[in-house]
Amino acid sequence: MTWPDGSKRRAARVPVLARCALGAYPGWWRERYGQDQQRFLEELAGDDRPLRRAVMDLAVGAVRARLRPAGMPQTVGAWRDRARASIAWATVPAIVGLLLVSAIEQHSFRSSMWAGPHVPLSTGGRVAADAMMSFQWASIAMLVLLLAGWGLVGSLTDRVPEGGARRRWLLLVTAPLIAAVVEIGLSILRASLMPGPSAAAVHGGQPLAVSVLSIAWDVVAVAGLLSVFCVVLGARSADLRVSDLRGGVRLAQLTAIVMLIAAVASIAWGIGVTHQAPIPRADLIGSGPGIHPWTGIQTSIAAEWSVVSAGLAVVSAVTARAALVARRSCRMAQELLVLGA
Amino acid sequence: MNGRRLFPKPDPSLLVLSSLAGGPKHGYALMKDVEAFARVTLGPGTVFGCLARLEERGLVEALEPEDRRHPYRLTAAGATALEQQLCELERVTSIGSKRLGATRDHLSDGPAGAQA
Repeated sequence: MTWPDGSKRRAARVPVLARCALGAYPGWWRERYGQDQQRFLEELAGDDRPLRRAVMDLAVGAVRARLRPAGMPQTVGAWRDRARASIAWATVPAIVGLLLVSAIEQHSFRSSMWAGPHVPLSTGGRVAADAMMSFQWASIAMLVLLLAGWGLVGSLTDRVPEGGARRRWLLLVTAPLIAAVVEIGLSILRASLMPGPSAAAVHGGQPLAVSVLSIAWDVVAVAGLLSVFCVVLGARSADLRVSDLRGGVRLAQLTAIVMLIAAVASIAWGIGVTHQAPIPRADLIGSGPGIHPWTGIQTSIAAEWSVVSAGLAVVSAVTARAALVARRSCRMAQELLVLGA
Repeated sequence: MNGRRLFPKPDPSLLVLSSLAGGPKHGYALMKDVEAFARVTLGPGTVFGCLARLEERGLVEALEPEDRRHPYRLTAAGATALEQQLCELERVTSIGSKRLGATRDHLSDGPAGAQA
């Protein structure tokens, strides 16, 4: 192969990892700089230079291009792609996590619990219990997101222009409420169609409190998840200034930091818990005399889900940041909604 | 020495502008040029991130692509921005060099010279 400088070198293949790093850039970037970067890598490989640092540099560059889109073309298509990417980044991991927790909780934890309160919990049962209890932590994280996202967008009703965009925006703001109602309905339906052993037997004689808490967790989780949608789409629909959203972004960033600290602290505290002897189920559910196992397992649960929550909070911060960047062109957001209708 | 650099690496944007001041270049040629004159290796993410930011501000512009890659060149605004930045650096460099020279003379005299 003859290169532009006249030299003849072999056509170098770009490794898979480098191609993945190139693929991590946003679409508009790949369209504009993708070929240039590909050629850069080919020449780098052709000169037999190590590609490891280049791949790392590309990965960092891809994150930077998504957070600070310098040079993004001011077209509706680019903005629409950006909105889609923001929503996907914000919600897909959260949905997968919730489905996983829900599945484990249904099939493992409950069946293990129903075996009887005095049989030691198996390893699988303990993992399932972890997942079940971690739902509480997810709910707390989701509640923060709910307050940050839904409250922020909901407080700016008067700024939303009249017309189709306003109707769409109102639907988005009410989505968490609708989801909450649906979730309560489904929980009640599930309880009436699939009755298990008496709640009193499972939860140490506190059926009402446990049921209410269980439903409340579901509600907050689903509503919080949808509030992330609202932060992105509501902000795009409304005629907001950057300064209006700054508080929300800072809150989300603060949440991320707090969650990260909680994750590290929980891991450090609960790291030895998994090596303990099997814990009597009565202790696990809080009705036995053992205090330490109960505290320990809660700690390990906190460690697990704090990591997930921290990730979620970081995603929220990034998403809110994306919404801020998107505010550069309000007119474009309106155009986007009209095209999307 | 603890292995950490006392001073951070020069700003990649300044290096890219300085390189393009010598004529239009594509990404890889730019990286090699910077490596030759500044002894700093810029990766592809850094090079094109810089070019994107500079292009957005109108300091550089892309030329017609050749062999699947765009050469970039400095614009008039880019030349002005580079000149201003270099003037500032030059001022710091000349003052620092002058003072360093005086300090070296003082140190070469030794403690006895200092007392005298």
